[in-house]
Amino acid sequence: MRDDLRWTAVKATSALVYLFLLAPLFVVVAISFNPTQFATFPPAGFSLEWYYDFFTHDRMLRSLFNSFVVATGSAIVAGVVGMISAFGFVRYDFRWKNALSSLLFLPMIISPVVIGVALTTFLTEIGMERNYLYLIAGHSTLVLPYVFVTVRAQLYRFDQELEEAARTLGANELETFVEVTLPLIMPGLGAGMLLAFVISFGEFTATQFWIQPQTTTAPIEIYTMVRTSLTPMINAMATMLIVVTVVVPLVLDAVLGKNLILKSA
Amino acid sequence: MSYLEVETVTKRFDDLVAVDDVSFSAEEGEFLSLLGPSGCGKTTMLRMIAGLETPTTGEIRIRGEDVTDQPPYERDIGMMFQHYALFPHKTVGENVGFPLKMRGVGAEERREQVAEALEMVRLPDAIDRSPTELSGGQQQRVALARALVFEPDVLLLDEPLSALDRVLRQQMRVELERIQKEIGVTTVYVTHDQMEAFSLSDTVVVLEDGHLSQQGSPIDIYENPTSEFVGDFIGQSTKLTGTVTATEDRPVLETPGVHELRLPSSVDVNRGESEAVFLRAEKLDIRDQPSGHENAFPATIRVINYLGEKTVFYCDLEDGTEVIVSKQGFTNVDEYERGDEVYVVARPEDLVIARSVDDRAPQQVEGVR
Repeated sequence: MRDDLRWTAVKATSALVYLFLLAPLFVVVAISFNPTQFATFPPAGFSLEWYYDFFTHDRMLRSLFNSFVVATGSAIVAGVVGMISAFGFVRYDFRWKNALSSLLFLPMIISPVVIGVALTTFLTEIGMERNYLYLIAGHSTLVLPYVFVTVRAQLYRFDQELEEAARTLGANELETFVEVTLPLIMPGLGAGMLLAFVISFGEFTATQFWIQPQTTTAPIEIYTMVRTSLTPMINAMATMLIVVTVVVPLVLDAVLGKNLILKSA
Repeated sequence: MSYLEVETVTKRFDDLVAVDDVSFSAEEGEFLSLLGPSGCGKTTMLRMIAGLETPTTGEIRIRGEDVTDQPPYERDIGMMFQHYALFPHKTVGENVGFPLKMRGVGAEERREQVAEALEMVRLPDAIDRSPTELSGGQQQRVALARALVFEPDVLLLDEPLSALDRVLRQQMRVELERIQKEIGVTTVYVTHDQMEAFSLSDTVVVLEDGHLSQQGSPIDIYENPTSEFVGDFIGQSTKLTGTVTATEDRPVLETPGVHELRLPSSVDVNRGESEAVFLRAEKLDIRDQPSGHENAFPATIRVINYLGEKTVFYCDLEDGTEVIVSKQGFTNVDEYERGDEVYVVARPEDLVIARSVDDRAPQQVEGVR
């Protein structure tokens, strides 16, 4: 009986913690439909006014588009580089292998501020302009570990006999990769790339060092707006951001029917 | 020129010599087994024929063509892996059709040939199923169909039956033999199981520690082992080592366990030399009393294993050497029990003495002086 009670206490506490963490998100979504100028909760009614504002606001739309471009580019770059590194670390032996693989996780551990400053110095030094590529280069660095770790986990479980079988059956190296290896590591690669997309999409700290007015991303735009003018349109924007980072991957997951996120979790 | 030729092939991995100067060959349609304990290099040998490993030295030829340095996809080799290696993300039909697709066979023709191959392994209805839904035996059939559908020059089988349970293993063995004979494909079969090798093969190649120990027909290998290793590894037997002496004109082996073991008179042994003799378990007998012309030596029964079709006695000789006696259809098991003092009987002509081929050559026969 006492054990049951304890479990109930544990469950209740966990529920409260999650509620505390997640409730503000629901509030933001709810008040984004609120017709009044000043935020009230519960909402005083239902209105799409702020969404209309948002979709007619050039700077807002521009920043959302920028975020899409940068997140997609970073997911692709990190996907390719992360996958190739994972192959190297799983399939080959070389000196300092363990030390080097720890090194690959540094972008995950080091404060984004430090990475933001460091990369700015570096990219400025080599004379790169602050365009999309600049942002993609920075974000790829930040999200690379996520692809690396998910693909690596997949590769550890990969039965290499399948590749050998393909080769004895007449497939050359490229055909073996396309027909056998890639489809089988897709859950890991897909999950890693989705994570990369989502993290890049929401990245703020390092990004502020890397933008210029034309390449401002959505999170930075929201921050700028909160500082200058507190309009409820921000709630609509924040809701869009939540939708992109949470709902889009889940829908994609369900549509592709691969359960990438669930499988790799 | 043989169909498949392996010539003085050696494979080194760093410090380890996995295959050491091995040569053998197989004729078209022949069923050849590579037999040996684990770690003897048989799988490495098979992988070299497949092209998955490259020999350090030596040459492999198929139909006279040197394929030693060819990648696997340029050879026409059908290989069946120990754990089948079916592609889990493809259907059974796509698995079997894979080698055809890689060879540029059109979709329609592919479908036909896949259906035919699945018919051959008696799984015509599995075509649209996922291999992960199939039982071990069914997966094996699919793997076999996939390895054969493109009519390869050589079929390679890597311990294909080891993952199956006993009854299924027997069924699959018969099935494998039927299919192999039906299409007449030259086959190399890797196994550590002597019964599998013997029942399927025209030729058995025994490998020991990377080198070829003996090559011959099953009967040759069993009755005339050319090395102590083969004598020991093949069949269930007891090895007795001793020194050759003679009484009258018959050679005798002095061993600690038996004292005087009479050898077949035809055998060429030299007095004073040390020899190893193998007592095949199924050729020994158990008696209560010693009998005249045979070797009979006292022993104590330690364990009796009644297995139905046969009974196996594990006995200890005077010096503690274990001797195994296997009796077919032994019905009076009840008459014996653990600890009984009995006589183990061995006819001299049933004793097996390992002789290298050189020693058997006539000019070498010196008899007993």
